[in-house]
Amino acid sequence: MGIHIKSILGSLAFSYLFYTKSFGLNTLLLSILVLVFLFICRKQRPLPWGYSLPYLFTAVMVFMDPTAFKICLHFMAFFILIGKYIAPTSSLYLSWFIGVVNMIIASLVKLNNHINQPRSQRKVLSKKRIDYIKGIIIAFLLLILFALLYQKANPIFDGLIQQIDLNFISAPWLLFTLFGYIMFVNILNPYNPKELLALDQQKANELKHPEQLFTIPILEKLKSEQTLGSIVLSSLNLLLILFLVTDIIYLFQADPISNAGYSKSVHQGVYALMFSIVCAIIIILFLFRGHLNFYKGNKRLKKLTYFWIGLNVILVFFTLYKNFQYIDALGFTYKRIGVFVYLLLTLSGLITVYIKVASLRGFIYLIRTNITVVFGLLLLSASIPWDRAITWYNLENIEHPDISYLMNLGDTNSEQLYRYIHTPNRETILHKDTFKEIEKRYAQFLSIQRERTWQEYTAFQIRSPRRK
Amino acid sequence: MMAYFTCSINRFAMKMTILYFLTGSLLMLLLLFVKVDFLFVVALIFLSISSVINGITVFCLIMSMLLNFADIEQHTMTLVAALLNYPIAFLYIHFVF
Repeated sequence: MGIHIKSILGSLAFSYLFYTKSFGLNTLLLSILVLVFLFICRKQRPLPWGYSLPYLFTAVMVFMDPTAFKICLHFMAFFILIGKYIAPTSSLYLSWFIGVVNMIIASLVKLNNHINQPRSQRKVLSKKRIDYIKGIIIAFLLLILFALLYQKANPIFDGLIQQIDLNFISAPWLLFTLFGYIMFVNILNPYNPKELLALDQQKANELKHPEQLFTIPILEKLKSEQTLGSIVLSSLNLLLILFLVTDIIYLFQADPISNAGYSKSVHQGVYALMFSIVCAIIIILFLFRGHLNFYKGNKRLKKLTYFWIGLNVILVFFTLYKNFQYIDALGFTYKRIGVFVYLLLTLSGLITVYIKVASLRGFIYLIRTNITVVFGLLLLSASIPWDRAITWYNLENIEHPDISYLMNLGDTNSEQLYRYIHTPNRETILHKDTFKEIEKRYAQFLSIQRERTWQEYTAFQIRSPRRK
Repeated sequence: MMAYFTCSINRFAMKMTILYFLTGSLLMLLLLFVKVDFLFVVALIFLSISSVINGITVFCLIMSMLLNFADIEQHTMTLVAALLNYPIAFLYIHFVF
């Protein structure tokens, strides 16, 4: 099967599944189709299984809970898969970039290369293939002509022809299908950014050991950098120790902390942590950008760097503890979950900075590793239906949950809120208007779910088939 | 990586994109915990100027791409990178406000 036939079939499936539809089961079906096509073409390019599974996983997650975050992540996984399909050895950040660019310009690049080729080298369609195309076009035209003729002669045949409904064909539908066709052509016949990939391959994770011994002017410069760096890091370490001591006092003081106090201590603490860590990482990257990595007298500076990293890890754990306390008292919110995500990323950043300094890695190592960690963490977080999880936790564990916050989340928690207000003794806690609003919200949610076509089905329709 | 971009407009656009990204990130981090009016004004001025210059750069890149169709690959790479600053800016605004 040629690329164009596969692309036409793919585009028809694409428009059937997605035209005027929202995300749901269609995302999962299209992902399977894309993977099947890529698997069929595995002789030209091997299918990157390691990136196909995350792509399929995000599609399943979109089917389970189609939120904007999961849809964005699904697209990200798709672009990475395409990038890895084109160049399996490229860095993750570049794969994403190649994937995006390929989807936009692959056909144009191919066309441009074709035009710029000398006429003698251009690929020409074989005579057999031209005959096939001619045959299909002529047969199609004749089929229409004769069908119209026979329609007049036989009323049963006329009824059969009348049943063919082509009303779905419109200018927007044609454009949408064309878009699907271009998408599939670009997936199945991608372009190869050789120059970019060669440049990426040249960038090694390890720093190159200098081939010559350091000259006296370089040694002098390194000594002064070492002194400067030691003073800067020593003062940063001292300040951080002082901060941690005050933080311990704050954490273990007997006074109960107010809601505003929680917010201030966690959020402001995290923002300050963010800024200080970014600044200190910039200083470390500046100091360890080149020759200082190989300078024998850098031990003191390295020890100070490790000490600073260790102190920051303690700071991360303190902030984690504060966030736990905050959640224990007031429940989950997206912002508080964001703090966890940020702290995990900071921890990974600190570990990679340590590896960079300890095993003489370059800046590109930090970018490559941390982008992989971010992608992994996003994938992991996609497995949780956040709106429902936040609602469940807050309703089950918090004495007076913030109902108005929960009502501002996505409508997937409507059922949980509805069940919550219909448990005994809720009338005493909640206002009448809140009752009405929750019931109205639930009714709207059910109505939206009922209106969904099979392409838009989500896990809700599977869980509660009678209410679909 | 800059060696990849052989056209001068692409090199300029990439440098500007990196500069906007770094300055924007730094301003966002500062604004998160230093809620000073002066900083908000600086951030707004930076956002307005960078959006306009980035918009003009994107327009010039499209023109340059049409004129030098053979270099469509590096032009598109630059365009994607330049346009990526807009969603990042929206995300940062969402974080700050």
